[in-house]
Amino acid sequence: MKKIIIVLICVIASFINVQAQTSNAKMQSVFIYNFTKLVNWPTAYQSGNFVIGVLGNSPIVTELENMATTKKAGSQTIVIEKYTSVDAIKKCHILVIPESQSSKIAAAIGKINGNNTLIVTDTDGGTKKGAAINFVVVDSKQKFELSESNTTNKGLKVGAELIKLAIVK
Amino acid sequence: MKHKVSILSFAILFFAISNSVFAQIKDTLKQGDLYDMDLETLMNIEVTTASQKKQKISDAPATVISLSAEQIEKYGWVDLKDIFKALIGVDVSYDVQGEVKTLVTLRGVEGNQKILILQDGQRQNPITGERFIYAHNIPLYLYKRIEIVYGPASALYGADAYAGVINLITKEGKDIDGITGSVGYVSTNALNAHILFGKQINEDIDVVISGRIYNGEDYALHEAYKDMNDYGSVSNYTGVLGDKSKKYPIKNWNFLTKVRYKKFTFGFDWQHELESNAPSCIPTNYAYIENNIWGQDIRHFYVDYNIVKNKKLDLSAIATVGDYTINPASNFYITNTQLNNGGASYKYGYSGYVSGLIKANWTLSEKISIISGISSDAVKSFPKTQNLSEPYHLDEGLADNLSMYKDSNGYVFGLKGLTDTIFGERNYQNFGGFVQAEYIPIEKLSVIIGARYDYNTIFEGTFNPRAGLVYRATRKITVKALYGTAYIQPSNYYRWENWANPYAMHIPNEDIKPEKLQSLELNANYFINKNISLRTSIFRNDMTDIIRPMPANSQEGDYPYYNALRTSIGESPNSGFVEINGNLGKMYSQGVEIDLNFQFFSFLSSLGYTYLEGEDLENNTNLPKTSQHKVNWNISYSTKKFNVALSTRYYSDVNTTNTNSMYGNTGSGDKSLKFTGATIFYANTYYKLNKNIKIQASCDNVFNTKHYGGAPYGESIWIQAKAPQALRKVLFGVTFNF
Repeated sequence: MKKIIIVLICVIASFINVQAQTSNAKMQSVFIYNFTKLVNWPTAYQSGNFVIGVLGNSPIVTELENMATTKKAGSQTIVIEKYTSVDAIKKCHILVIPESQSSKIAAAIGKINGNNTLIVTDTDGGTKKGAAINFVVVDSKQKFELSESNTTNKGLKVGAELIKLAIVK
Repeated sequence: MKHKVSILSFAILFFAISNSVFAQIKDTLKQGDLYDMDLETLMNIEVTTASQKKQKISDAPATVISLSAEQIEKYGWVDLKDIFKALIGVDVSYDVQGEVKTLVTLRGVEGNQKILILQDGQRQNPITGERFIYAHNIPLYLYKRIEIVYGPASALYGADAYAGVINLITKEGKDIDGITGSVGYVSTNALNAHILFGKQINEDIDVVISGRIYNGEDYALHEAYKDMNDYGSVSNYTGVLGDKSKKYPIKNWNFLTKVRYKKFTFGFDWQHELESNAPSCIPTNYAYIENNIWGQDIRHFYVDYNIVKNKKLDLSAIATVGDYTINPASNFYITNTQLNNGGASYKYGYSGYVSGLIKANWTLSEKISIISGISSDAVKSFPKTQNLSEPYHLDEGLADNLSMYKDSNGYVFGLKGLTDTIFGERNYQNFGGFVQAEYIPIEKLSVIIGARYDYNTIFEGTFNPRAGLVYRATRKITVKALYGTAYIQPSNYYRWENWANPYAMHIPNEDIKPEKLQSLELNANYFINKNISLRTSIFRNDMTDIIRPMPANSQEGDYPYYNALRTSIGESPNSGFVEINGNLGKMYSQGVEIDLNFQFFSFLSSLGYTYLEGEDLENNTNLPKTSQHKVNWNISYSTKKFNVALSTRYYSDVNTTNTNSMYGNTGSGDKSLKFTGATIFYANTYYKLNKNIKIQASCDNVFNTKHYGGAPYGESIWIQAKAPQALRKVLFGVTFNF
């Protein structure tokens, strides 16, 4: 019995001691980093910290935080903010709404009304619900849908390279 | 137990690896090499979303489980036999007799010859229907994917795609892109090592070459199972045979090469397997010594020519030459009841074949597609010989002299009409044609109808239809209704099997019909979200004309059978038990499978539950060697450099036949017709020191639990009533790639 307990402790310790990540979340965070380079924000957003907000709990938070430790958005320091509710959402450059929070897309868009925020979702029909960019997986590959109208409505300009690669909605 | 590694040392290594990697993992995450790629490149990287892979599978007209190279690595599965402990719907017994080694029962259908094994489309099972050996003989590092297709598929594949099909898809040179290798030490005192080279030279040429050895000893069962009903007589024995040391040898190697040149693919593989033949045989009858072994060699050479490949048509022609040989050293080493004397009864058998297949996948329109093909096999068959007093003399050709079993009227075994005392080649041909059409009348619905006709020069025509409906109710829910049929060939192995000893005799029977199966299945896949999917299946299999051993019928005029060996115990050669392989009775199996797959953070998990019931209608018993309830839980935690995985297998009480010597109605035991199940744990961990070197430790049966599985032919007086399973085995290994 003693040996069993030792093994269990070791296994549990291994789980606790290692940080979490998922391959999908990592890939999405890499895409978001690319969005910081290929989308133009208004001048007022081009100084200070570059804020990426995430609504709710998601493994992407950890991935974005890892990314922020080594990468910058141009000359801006990337800061990751986690919003526990729609009411907690603040002014940010990019708002990521994970699939688990998809029911709150409309409320979240309402909350950031007037801000030049790139809304990124991960759900069926995300761009129809108001997102500028929506993640999809096609043939096991990470792709994204882009709504030009939802982007320009937020005062954002999208580079030609992004349009070329996107599934334009 | 000098070769056993203590659980404590395993745990310490496990712990040490998991903790020492923490800091380095953080460093790796910080490196962020993906962040330096451009978006276009990123969009061509495949992501490991279980639901996406499942979505493709969900459209197939069958229940399919796909295992990736990544999963194989995570769980530390080494050989094909290892996946069965983690698969839903499977009853599995390891450590059984040499002609089987691992007994696999899929959805209640027992028999290793009843699952068709394909490697890159090439049949791995002996074409002449011998039971397939799952031993340390099919290394998994070769494969980028394994697909397990549940249910009958003779409508596409012909004979023996009965309970299911396992497709082994080897890696391409471009997948390997260099050299990988491994060296591992197994605590049973065995060495497991491989080397694999793969390279895409240019657009036209892709090369793979691989070799593997598994050499040493298997688990010493008699050291753990000392009860006299298990291996007690082996443990306690110190006589002459014991002096030869009680070993469970393994002397296996594999070679594979595959070269693609433009539209041609050339492949050659050679599997050499030689392992102990003793486990699950009654220790007072069979010696547990190094010489008691069983082995085989299986080879294939094929050329696959892709004639046309465009959006409308994918047309290929494949030619194969293959053979199967029972190693002449294979034997049953039989002792007398005092274990102080004995001798080997050697066996030999051979089959070779030339096959051709032309297959075409047509996409006629967005709504109609067709798979079709024709095949031809010419088979040279020399069935397994009688018991021989010395290894078969290969230089004497393919002829087995049975003249000693000829009675006074010249009938071999006393079998009326059988006067040819030289058993030689029993060659035959098989021709097949198949077509399967898929029609999509509305976006959400696919209708699949197919059939295959085979003509065999021995058992003539066989027709196998299948049908399926796949309804994609929503993007997340798919429902399937499936009907399929299949057959097991009345192979030369079963038709001509013969052996004799002073107590009993098994004689040939040419008049065996194909065993047939009909299956109905309802299947639903629900992708709850990207990270969670749920599959449920309800199935029923009805099997008729079961091919199995049965007492020989009386002959016309009560003409007696003839067993010359009876005289050695003072009995008449016209007496004694006589059996044949024949078609006997019906069986059914039915059940439910529920399979939940989910991933969160870095955890990847599958949780499966199987409910199975069924009956052998000939004997009015539950399906032997199966459990009513089974649970499989596999969970892994992985980062870029580190992985830990745990598999758990629970199986409830195991059914036996009513003639089982310990649990059957006719035995001396409790007549309960079942023995106790168990819960077994398996663990694997590895750590990648750098991009070139990985260290690994894995452990089978972590808690050293004594447990049993059903034994093939467990009702026989020569075979144990239940098969003791190995206790803890640990593997330490190093893998490198350049």
